[in-house]
Amino acid sequence: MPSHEENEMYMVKEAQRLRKSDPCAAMAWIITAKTLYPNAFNLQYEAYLLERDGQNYEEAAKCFSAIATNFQNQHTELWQEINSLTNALRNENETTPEHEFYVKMYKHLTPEVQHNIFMHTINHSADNLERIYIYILMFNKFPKSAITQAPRLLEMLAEGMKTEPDLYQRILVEEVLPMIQNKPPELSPNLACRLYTSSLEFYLRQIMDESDTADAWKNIFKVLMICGQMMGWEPFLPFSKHVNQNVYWEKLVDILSGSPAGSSQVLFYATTLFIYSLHGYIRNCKLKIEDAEVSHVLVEGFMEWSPEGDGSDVPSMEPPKFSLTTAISPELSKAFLHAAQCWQLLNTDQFQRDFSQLMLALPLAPWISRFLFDLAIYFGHRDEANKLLADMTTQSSLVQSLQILSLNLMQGSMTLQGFQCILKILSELPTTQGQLLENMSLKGHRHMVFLPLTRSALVQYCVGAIISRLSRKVLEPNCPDRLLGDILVLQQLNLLNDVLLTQQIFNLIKQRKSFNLRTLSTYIINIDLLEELSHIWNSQQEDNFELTSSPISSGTPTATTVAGGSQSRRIGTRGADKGARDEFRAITRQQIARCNENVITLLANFINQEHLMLAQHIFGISQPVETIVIK
Amino acid sequence: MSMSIDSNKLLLRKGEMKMDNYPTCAVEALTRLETLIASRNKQNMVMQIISEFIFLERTSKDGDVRKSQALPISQMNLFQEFQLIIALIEYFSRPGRDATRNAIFLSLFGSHLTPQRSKLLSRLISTAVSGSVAPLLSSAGTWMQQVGCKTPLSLEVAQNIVSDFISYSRKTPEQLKQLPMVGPHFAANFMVAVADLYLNEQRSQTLNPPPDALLDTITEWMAENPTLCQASQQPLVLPAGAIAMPFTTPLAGLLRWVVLAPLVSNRSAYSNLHLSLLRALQQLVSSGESTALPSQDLMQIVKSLQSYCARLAESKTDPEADAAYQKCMERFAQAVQIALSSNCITNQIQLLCLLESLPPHKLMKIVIEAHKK
Repeated sequence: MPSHEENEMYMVKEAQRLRKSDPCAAMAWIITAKTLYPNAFNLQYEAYLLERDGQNYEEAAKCFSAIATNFQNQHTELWQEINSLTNALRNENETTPEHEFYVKMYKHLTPEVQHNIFMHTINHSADNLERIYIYILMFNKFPKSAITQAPRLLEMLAEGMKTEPDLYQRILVEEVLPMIQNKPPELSPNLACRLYTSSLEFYLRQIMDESDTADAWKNIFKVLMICGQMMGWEPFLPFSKHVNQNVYWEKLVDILSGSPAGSSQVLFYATTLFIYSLHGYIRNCKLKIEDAEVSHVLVEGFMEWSPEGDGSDVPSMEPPKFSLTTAISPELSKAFLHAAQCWQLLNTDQFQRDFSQLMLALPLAPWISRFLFDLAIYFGHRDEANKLLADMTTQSSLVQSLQILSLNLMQGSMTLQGFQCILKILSELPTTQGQLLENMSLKGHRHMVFLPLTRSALVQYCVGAIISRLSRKVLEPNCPDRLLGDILVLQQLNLLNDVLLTQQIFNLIKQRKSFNLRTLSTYIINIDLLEELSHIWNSQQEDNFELTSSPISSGTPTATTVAGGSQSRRIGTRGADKGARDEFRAITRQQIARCNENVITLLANFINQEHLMLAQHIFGISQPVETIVIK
Repeated sequence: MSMSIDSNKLLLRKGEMKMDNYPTCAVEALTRLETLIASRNKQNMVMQIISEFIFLERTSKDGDVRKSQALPISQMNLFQEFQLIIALIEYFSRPGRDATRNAIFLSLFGSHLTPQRSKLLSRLISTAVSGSVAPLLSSAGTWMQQVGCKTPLSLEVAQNIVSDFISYSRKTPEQLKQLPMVGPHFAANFMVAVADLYLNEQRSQTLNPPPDALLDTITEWMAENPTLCQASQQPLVLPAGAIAMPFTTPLAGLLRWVVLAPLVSNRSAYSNLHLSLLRALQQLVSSGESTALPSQDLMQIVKSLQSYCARLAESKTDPEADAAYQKCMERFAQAVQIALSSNCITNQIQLLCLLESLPPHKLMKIVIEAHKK
């Protein structure tokens, strides 16, 4: 007697034989066979195929339901159909007849079967990504299922992120979170935090790529809200571009005061706020000036000269101030200080461990190293700043030179390296002209400057650095004429900046019977200075005052010669011969005529050409010239 | 005693119902019948009025039409017949109780009719079909069941419909196609009758297939109205005291068609109809009706197959090599299997033995094996 399977196969074959030529007869075979062998998959599947080929959505749906309910596990054919079905549902916009059939048939399935198909696909698919897509599809069709199933999906996403962070993070933030935001499921704190970190990571990458980042921050705050809800946190504030960062900080302090030590809500809120402020800081560091994007670099400001000493030796416990140098500097300093506040909070014992783990997970390295360096110089931590400087590899050599110079100034002394940096900066001046900055030198208190990388600001900073070194020597006995003269040249950039120093120099000139101002005919073009000089010359006539403007003859290298060169000039009041008087007038006139020359370029040239002399002033020794190499 | 009183009353009324203002008197008579018909002891008068005022038949001397041996002869002319049909259509179209309408229809057209009346009945029903007069068709359906769907009268009506709508019509009219919707009960009974007319060796020596258009129509009906075969099971609305006759479903007759059809025709419609029948049989499960396929109907199919095989034997053809026979058996076996699984076959064992005696077919063997246990 033939076995059931044989009979079953015989009928299936008969049906298959007739499927194309006489579908009704084929179906007659199938329904007959189904009454004989109700549990035979092959028959049910053949019945389904017949209905499918006949495009009978409703009947096909009935067959499909029966198969899906009764034969969940065994059959690859069923899987192919389920795959085709879920594929069609995932791409409902496609309009191939095949797709259309599945989409229409799906509508005829009972909700229970629909749901089962999804669950079954999820349970049996080996592909994590595939399962995730089915989950998403299911949540779209059965929003209620998200409440119970979302934790599993989220776990799978977290799992996937280990291998393909970008893809899974994108799915998380773009597809899954919008679906669950109205009713976030309950998750383990660990998972919720991980999901938030992942979303944050995703948006941070987006922020680093794009210019308009308000949306990303809005989303970050939204995700933070969702995760906070899942964790039962006290809600934080929603994001708004216009909200002052103080408001967020105050809210954070408020939450902090009501939370136990090391609570994760404070950790995450503070971290978010830290990154938000940090981003504001980094973003604002770049500014458009004269159609070029100009970066700002945080540098040490100068102390105003005073006869009592330069004050830098008095260590102050107070943190430095930010001087108001450019329009953007208040905003920059605010963002910086907020970031610093959060950073300090997060580096207290209660958060330090978790926070450093978070930082490792986020793609913030370039921002953080920049921030930490700035933070170190802000707090005056020289050693740390030096160490961090070595780690920052992404900086341009211009910025690096500037930072080394700034560190030098912070240390209160100038090293040879610092001086080389000045020369290097001058050799790499950008084309953007920019403007001179106000408040570069302040009295008595350490202060910080956001220096825009423009020609003017950079030259101004280099000049300031040299003056701040040279000015210490003004009161030294036997301070050489040429040092005083060089300070005068440098002061032309901003004569009003250090009025006291200027006055002091003129006093010294007057005290000396003879003064060699060798740079008079080459670098002094400032009318105020020229007037003052001619006033001294005129008023000192009786005292046989002698003003020389010639290169020093003795032992000083004159590789960089004064225009007009080798000829020595002595313009003295002694004897007051008419020729000398005329010559002084002629030189004065000649220099006044140059008063509209670009003083920035003039001084940059001056430092370049006289760098040996300047080095000698600063370092007090006759340097072997060859050692000053511009790197 | 009562007869004389009735006669007196009748005489009184005769004055109002003048035969010369036909069909008004017929319409008037129909209205009168509504009240008379409710009482059982006034049947004679009802019959008399019908005969006299509606069909204009010559009254016999004793006034009792039923007892008279001689058939009454109608004096109606063609025009009056036409007027009567219109009057009846109008009457049945009026709102009213189904029971009254059915009672009047059954009184007008009993089971023994004069040729004139039966001819008029056929015309009336054809007219109702083409006019889609649902209430009349409903009464006609009831009538058909009460007189028996396979009785000569019913067959005549069915034959007449086939003639009017199929044979003399190039295209099957919409009204016929719509019949299952307009009068499902009538349509089901019509199918029972019409199924008996074709592919029936009890009626003719050879197997006559139904006209193509008829087959197509019925195939379409069955495909589009899966429950049509059950329509004949609807309880009849009859006058008080009347006994409802057992219903017949068209399933058995139509099954004979599809099973025997391969012997005479290879039209694909049979395949379609066959599938519809199988589906209809499957649906009978829920109704638990065991008489849907009376065994004598199935025996009749077996008999036809046997005689076919006998003819094959004469020509020394092996039935297993005969495609037509194999196709017959394929359909038969499928139907038997589904009918058995739906439990709508009586005398199962007897049938199975009979089936076993037929030249073998693989599926039939499987079916017999499955049910012999």
